[in-house]
Amino acid sequence: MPDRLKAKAIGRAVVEPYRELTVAGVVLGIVQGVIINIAFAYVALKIGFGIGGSTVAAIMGYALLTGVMRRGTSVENNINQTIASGINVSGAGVVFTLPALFMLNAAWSAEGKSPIEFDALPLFIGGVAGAILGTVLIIPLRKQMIEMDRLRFPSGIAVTTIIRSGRAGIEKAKLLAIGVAVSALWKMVLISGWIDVPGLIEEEILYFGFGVIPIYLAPMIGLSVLNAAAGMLTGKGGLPMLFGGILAWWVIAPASVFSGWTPEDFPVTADQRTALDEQAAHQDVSLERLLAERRQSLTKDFLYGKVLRPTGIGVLIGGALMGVIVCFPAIVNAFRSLAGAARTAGAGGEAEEMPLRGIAAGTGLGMILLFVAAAMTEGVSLPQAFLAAVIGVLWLAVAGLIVSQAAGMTDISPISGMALISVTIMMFLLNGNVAGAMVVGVAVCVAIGQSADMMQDLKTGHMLGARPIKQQLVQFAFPWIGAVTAIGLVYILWQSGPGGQGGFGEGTRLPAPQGGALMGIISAVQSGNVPVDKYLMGSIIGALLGAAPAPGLGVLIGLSMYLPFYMSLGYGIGCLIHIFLRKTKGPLFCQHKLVPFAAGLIVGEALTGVGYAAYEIIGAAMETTSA
Amino acid sequence: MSNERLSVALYAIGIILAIVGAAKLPAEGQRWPDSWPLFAAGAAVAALGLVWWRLSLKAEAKQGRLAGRSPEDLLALLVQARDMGRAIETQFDELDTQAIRARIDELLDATFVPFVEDRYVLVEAYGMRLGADIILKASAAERSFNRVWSAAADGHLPEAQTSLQRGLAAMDDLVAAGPIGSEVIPRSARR
Repeated sequence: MPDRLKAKAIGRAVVEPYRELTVAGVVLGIVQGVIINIAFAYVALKIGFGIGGSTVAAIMGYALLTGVMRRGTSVENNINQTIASGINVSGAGVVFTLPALFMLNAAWSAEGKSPIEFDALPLFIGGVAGAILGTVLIIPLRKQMIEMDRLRFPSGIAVTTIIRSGRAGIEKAKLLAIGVAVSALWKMVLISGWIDVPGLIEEEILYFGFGVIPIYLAPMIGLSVLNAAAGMLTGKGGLPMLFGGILAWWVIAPASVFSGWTPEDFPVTADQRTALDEQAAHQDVSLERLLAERRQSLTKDFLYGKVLRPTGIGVLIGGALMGVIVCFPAIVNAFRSLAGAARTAGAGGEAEEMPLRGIAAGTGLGMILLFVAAAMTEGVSLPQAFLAAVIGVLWLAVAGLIVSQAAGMTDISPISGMALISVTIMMFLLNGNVAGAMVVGVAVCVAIGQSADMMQDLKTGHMLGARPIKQQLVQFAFPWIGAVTAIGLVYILWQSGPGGQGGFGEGTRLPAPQGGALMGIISAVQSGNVPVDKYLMGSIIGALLGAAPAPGLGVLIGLSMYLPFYMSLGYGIGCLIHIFLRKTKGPLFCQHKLVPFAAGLIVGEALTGVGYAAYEIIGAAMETTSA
Repeated sequence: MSNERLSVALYAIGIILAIVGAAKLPAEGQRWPDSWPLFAAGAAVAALGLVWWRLSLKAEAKQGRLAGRSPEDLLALLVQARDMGRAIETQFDELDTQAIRARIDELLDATFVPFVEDRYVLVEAYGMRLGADIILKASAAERSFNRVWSAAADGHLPEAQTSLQRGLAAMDDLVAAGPIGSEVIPRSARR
């Protein structure tokens, strides 16, 4: 529509209602969601982490709805990307958990143990339950997170920038395009390994210890611009994550080492010794130096795996729960508003939010499905299934809140940490029944992904002026498709292995690293090796942080302990860049220049991720054909 | 050093001690590490610092010494937003879509951006219930103004006009009959 036409003239010409929830937007969202889901599920099995689909869906939506159909609107595209990302995220919840069940079953069979009995149907039902519950349980917190706390949701901002690009002025479009180009090129260089230098740059991480700073201080920074871009969009509010990382790795780590709280040495097997001898000869360095580096590196792994990560999970839980308590009056306001939504709709007005009745009905439906899924699993009694459904719903509400807050502040979702706690709780409730614990675990992981995604899309919706109820309805109605598709895909990929099994796992082209990690957790739970002390002490620290008059402190510090330092550091540098530019150029510069550029950086990495996924799938297909 | 800074320092020291105290692994066969007294002492110090921090903030809010804008400034921003929106409404038929977006950008940059930045001053000054009520109502109006921008960008002027009226109605409610009209908020902030 030409911009220079007079408003009155255009107003007369427009006869159809403003397009928002349309068949075109819904169909495009479902089609894109399924395609992205399959591609990203495959990549997650390959590299261990997923890629958000919102940005890609928004670009395609812009091209098809606005470019091809020539009548699409911003809020219609918002509906399209809400559906697509919801379906995609459901798949991520499945591929981070379910592969562990297949791999564990195979490992136990190989060890001569009795195999785990499990069926596809309870997993499908659990996945659908998770998709519904994750959406309905987080809706009451929309006002709190988006309007009150103003969480940044960097990917949500990136999506808004895409949807508005071209309409927000050429300068912003240019900055977005520059960001996309810089990020995509840089990511390609990193993926190609062209700049890798052993000991200095490896696997997209720069090691800046130079043999001087001990490795247990984690002197490393991620070279991917995604974290820094998220920090650039957050600014001062994200700084506690940098402080938390520094506290964890440059205060707690050396304090632990100097107090003698870490193992003094780590045994070296004969094979490892031989390998080190060969490495010393090859690199022309002394064996003692390599042994010292190995000791420091294993000390770092010990500190991360046994101390900081479990404590960080506890801090996250305590921080998020205390955040709810502190903001309780505002949350009560939000519930009142939901109750008011029903009255508004009843009086003939347009409801803005899904009414409380709808949320209660969705919660009931999800809980029943979760109960049915657990009850259908071999070895789970009805009382156990009931308990698993009730506790599962309560836990996934808490976990959804934690993951949404973390994603809102940093764009990082600690889903694997929450999966760990979910499986631990369910193993305990279901008397060590692995299949039952995984059915509920899949539901919880799908749900917490949905919660974070719902909030991110609602953030985009807020910035575009969309009606929350329409987004909430589509997020309620469609993401189960992603869970079902991903479960089917995992079955197909597993059966693509020799003899109809072993299609993924260690030693295959799809190592499924998250599944492997979850296998380790299940084994630890079975042997009673759960760091309860770290979770509880961390929760108390988190509660103290969450009660501070600085919103999000508990979640950010918890996240900085839970994540590897190179991620917190990259994010923190992004925050510092924002603060510097704000101080020197002013807040409007950040709003109008930094935001589109940083959004472009996020989009560029997402696009490269899609390209990489496509490349991997085509490569695997060609490999299979030639075999 | 101000009370607030001292309380934050005490709080931070407590948190650091608590984390260090939690960092040791329990000995074989034990459930808790023997460093728990350090953890407990750190947590207690942090709790003391936290209470002190909150009290000093409350005292500073009472004396009107909080950094940044005052609650009255923030409420005045909302009144300004309503007036700017009203001016757009008056001239709506004379504006093209680009001009509408430019005026909405101007409104958001001048009023809602600074309001959002210092919104917690309202919570500190009026408490979570009333403070949150103002923030949430203003946010609903802001979403309507965002919709005006989107609808104008999409060339759908009837929706832009409706959304503008909806946003203004929300601002009117907030300024006249809403919390700004209550006894709690100084009359100087009202118009």
